[in-house]
Amino acid sequence: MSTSTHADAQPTRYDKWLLKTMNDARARRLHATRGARRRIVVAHVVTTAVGLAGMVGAYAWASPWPLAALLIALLVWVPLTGFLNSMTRGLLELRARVLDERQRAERGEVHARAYRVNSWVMTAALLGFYIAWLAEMSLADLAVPLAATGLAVLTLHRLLPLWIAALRVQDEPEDDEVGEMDEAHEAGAPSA
Amino acid sequence: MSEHVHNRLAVVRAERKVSRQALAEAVGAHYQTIGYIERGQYNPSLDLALRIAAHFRLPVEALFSLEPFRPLTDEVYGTGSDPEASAAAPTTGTTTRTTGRTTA
Repeated sequence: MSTSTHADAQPTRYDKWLLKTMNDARARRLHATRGARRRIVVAHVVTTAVGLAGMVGAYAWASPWPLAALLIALLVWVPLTGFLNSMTRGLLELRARVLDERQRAERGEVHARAYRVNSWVMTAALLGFYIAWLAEMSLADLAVPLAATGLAVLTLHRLLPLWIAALRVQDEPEDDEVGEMDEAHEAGAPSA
Repeated sequence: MSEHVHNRLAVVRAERKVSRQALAEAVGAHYQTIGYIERGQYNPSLDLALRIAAHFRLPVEALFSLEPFRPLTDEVYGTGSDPEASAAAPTTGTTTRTTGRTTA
């Protein structure tokens, strides 16, 4: 007896369009190497941090500069996120119905790792605020740190899987190109 | 329990002149997954292994094995250093019979 799951559902027209977009070959050469992928991830982390700082700054100080930093960071952040999605082939954006078994397993692995890291970060944050409470800091003093930590944890929860997935992508050999016939590898390649 | 599954997918795919993309579409997988399997970086599920074998009209054990495969040339021509192969084909004559060719 078999049970139907979301993964068994037929892809919609939107799924097919998104799958095609995420697998667009035009951006592939821009993140073909591990070094390039790492640089994009680092740039994305930095841009995200600048954007968050701008957001908290706009909340904390009555100055236009934090908002300007936020807007500029956003302009850089959007295409960088596109690169991350392109290098992971939409691993975290596509619905399970258009992913194959390896991709679904990889998505599970990525989420599990991100969950572990985020759990430690939240525990550390909680511990920090507990220590601050022991030091008799007032809630008013903790307003900005609370806002910043809340935003950072939320952002980490949302983006850490994407960063981990991007860092786990492996180089494709030339003969992996779509539609290209390749030479035979040696017989009996052992599994990792 | 061993997690090593050996395969000769790349050899068979090249022999049949099937691209990764074509095979991936035929078996409902991403083309990268075919590459991962060929490079031994991913062990396919039984379901996917059977679909790949069915696509090539081969038994699944012809493509996937828990033991390393002998090179196909050894299996066909019996020229490898495998002791069993040597026992089965210790002479040129046996090798010739294996290939089904006649020599003077």
